Amino acid sequence: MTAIFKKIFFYIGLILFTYTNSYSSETSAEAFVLKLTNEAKLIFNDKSLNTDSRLKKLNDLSQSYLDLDALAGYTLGDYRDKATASEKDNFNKLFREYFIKNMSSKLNDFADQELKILDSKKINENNIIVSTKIFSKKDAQEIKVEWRIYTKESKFLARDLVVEGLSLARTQKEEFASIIASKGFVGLINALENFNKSN
Amino acid sequence: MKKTLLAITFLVLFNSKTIYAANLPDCNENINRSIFSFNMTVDKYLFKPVAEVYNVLPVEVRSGINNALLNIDSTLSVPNQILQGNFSEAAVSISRFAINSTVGILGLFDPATALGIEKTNREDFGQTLAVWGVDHGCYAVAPFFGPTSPRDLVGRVLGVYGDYFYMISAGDKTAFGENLGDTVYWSTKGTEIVNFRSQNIKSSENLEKNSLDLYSAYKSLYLQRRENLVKNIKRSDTQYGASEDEWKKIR
Repeated sequence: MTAIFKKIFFYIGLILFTYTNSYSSETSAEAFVLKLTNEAKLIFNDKSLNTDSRLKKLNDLSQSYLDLDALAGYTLGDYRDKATASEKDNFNKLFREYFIKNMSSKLNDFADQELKILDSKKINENNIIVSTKIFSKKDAQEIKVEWRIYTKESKFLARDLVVEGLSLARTQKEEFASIIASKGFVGLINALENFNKSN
Repeated sequence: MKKTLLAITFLVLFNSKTIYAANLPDCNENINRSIFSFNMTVDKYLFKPVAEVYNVLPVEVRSGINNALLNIDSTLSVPNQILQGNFSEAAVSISRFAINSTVGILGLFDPATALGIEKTNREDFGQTLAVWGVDHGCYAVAPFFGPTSPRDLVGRVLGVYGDYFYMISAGDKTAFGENLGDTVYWSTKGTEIVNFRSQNIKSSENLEKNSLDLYSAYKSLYLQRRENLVKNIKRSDTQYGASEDEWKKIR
């Protein structure tokens, strides 16, 4: 009889532990998104920064908060398995620069907007989706943004933003796939180089 | 007209294969890219400037116009909700339309939401065809209208003739003994375009500035949006944009 009670208590304990752990990882992911957006806002609202120093700060921010290597791998799509190690290294380097410049331009317009965390959901072992709303007082618009947060060993990294149901990672991947299909991998590298040079 | 519609419907129905939208074939890419360039030029010199002027209007005015347009648009959702078997949603849409058109002064205000009658999913004939199992067909770009597919194009044509608002304005039907007339219909449709464009000025500027292949970016966004609409993924629901299988390959 005592053995049965021990087993019951063990399983109840296990369920509670798993639930609490999962709950805490989701709330930590929410805190992570708030921290990331607050730090990004500080950069965008700092008028003393010139373009280069802003890009440098954004690059530092991305090192701590974004999983850019994973995102680069994702956007390569089917070519990911065909690319050589040096091609991947070169692509990752160019992609990082492209992404930071792209982000700098995209987020600049949203620097004055307010973010509210709605909820979060652990969708599998390593991924949490944090749902947020961004309010713009200026044009009375509300934008729904979901953050795909990758978690490993208590560390969080953002991998994708889904804005009003539209995934930025998927859009980027399909854009790159089209360039690779028409101009080859070299064409994509050239396009990234040209973008990075002219921005 | 009927023959053309029948021919397009035939092509869509008998060319349908199960294709994941992201891999939608772009059968006439060169032509599509030319039409896309034409549309971008029209947008640059016509739609965007008009939308910028429209954005000067106070937020309250724009919000009222947006409400009224959504209210009119719900007359298209009702037959499609019924055709898709969503009878409860159709009943909600009808209630919302009745309340907002009367208490809400022709839809300018949204008292239905305040009363707890939440917005339903927007439905059109393209979505209904998708629910019935018709696939997109080849990706296409229509002059002035932008990204589409044979399925959505058929849906758009059906949407004109199967829309109650069309029937009582540009069509020959009446509501309370009155026909609103062509002018009301076409000015409403024109306002719809301007309203939509005005809500996307910033995002489209960003897209133009940062895309390496703008045509593909628009194609991807269009397909993702249509997928969400067909699956009835509400703006308020959580969904994850890209497929899990793809992410699992990344370590």
